[in-house]
Amino acid sequence: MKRSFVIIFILMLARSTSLAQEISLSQLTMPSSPGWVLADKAPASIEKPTTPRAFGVSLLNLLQGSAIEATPFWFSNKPDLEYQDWIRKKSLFIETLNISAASYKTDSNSHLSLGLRSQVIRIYSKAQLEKLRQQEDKIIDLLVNRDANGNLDLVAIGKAHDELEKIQNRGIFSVELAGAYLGQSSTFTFKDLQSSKAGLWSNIRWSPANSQLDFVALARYAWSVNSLIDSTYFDYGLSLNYETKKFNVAIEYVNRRNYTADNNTHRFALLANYQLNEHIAIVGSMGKNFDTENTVFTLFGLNISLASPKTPIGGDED
Amino acid sequence: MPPVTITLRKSKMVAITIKIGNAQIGGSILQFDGDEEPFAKGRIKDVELGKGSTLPAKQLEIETNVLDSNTATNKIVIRHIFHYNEGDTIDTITIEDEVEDHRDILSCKATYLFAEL
Repeated sequence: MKRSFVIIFILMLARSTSLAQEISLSQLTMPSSPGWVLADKAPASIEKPTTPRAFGVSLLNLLQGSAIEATPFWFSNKPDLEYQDWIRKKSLFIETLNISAASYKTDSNSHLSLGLRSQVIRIYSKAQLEKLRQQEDKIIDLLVNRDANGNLDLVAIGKAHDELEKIQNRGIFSVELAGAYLGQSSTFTFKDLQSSKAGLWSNIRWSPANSQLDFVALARYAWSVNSLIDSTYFDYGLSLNYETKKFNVAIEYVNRRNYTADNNTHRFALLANYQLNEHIAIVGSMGKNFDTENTVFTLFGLNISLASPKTPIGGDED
Repeated sequence: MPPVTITLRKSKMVAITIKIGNAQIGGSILQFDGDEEPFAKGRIKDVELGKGSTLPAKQLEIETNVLDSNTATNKIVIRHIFHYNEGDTIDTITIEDEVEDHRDILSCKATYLFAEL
């Protein structure tokens, strides 16, 4: 009896895993480093220069095969930019303009990928600005009070900072833009570089202050040329996410205009999970991918995680 | 940081403002040498230190602690701005440093002496 229970349990787990791989959220959030997304590479080491000189050296290294990521605005100090000024700023194109680039070689080609990303608009609600000010005051208070031994309460400062980061992610409306380019050269020289892929992303996010909801609207345009399969498409869609400590539900709809195939397709995904304990979660999902005609259902499943304390809702970049 | 001498007019009220740049979060403790308690602490903005004529006999110790809360940079920049209470700047001392990791705390101490103009 006990043995058959174990077998049923394993089968249920396997079924859940395979179906979960078939439908997942396509992450309507922006790629954090768009320069690497098109290359489909996760660089093993990334140079992150923080000065113009280091950036110049990194660019030279890039030609030899490496990856860099930098936000040039922060190459120099901004002595007059206080935290209160920062959170009140609404237009952050220059301040958050991030450059990511990588170069690598394959047997037949050398590749160069470049990406830009920026949070163009970020607006906090008035109530959220007041919460941020109060939390900043709390941190300042902890930074100027020492105990009898003359030590700062580092644990309390850490917790207060965690809380600040949570507040920073709520009550916010933001618009992000990103673009990426991938070129390849069959002669291993940059003068013969030809574009093979490019993409543009735009992302609008709204996270109301007093709820656990997140709304994201996405538009992205991607094209591939000079590659084995030509592909040009435009995606636009919406996602809604609700997350509490134990329960997550996410729904996403993306419509795709495929210019290469001259058709319209869509994908739909609904995922939910309930965390039974630190390692076990009940998972449910249903949906349809761009390239499938039939709806895929997963009625019920269990996810057991030995490493991660929480089963994330999310999946592959489409 | 070696002691810095601030030269000021004795007839005017002197104040200090401390700016924590790079969108970081920090607070300061101001204490005159020999006093048992801090003169002021926390966010320091337009804090009056006293009339110019009373300050040359005093030595001001400032401790500024900054938490690296900006994910985009680990650089810290602090400005101690001495000014008259009507706004004219007397002197600005800029302290620049960098912490190793995000969420680290930089603690720096500065000593100021005062002289009449």
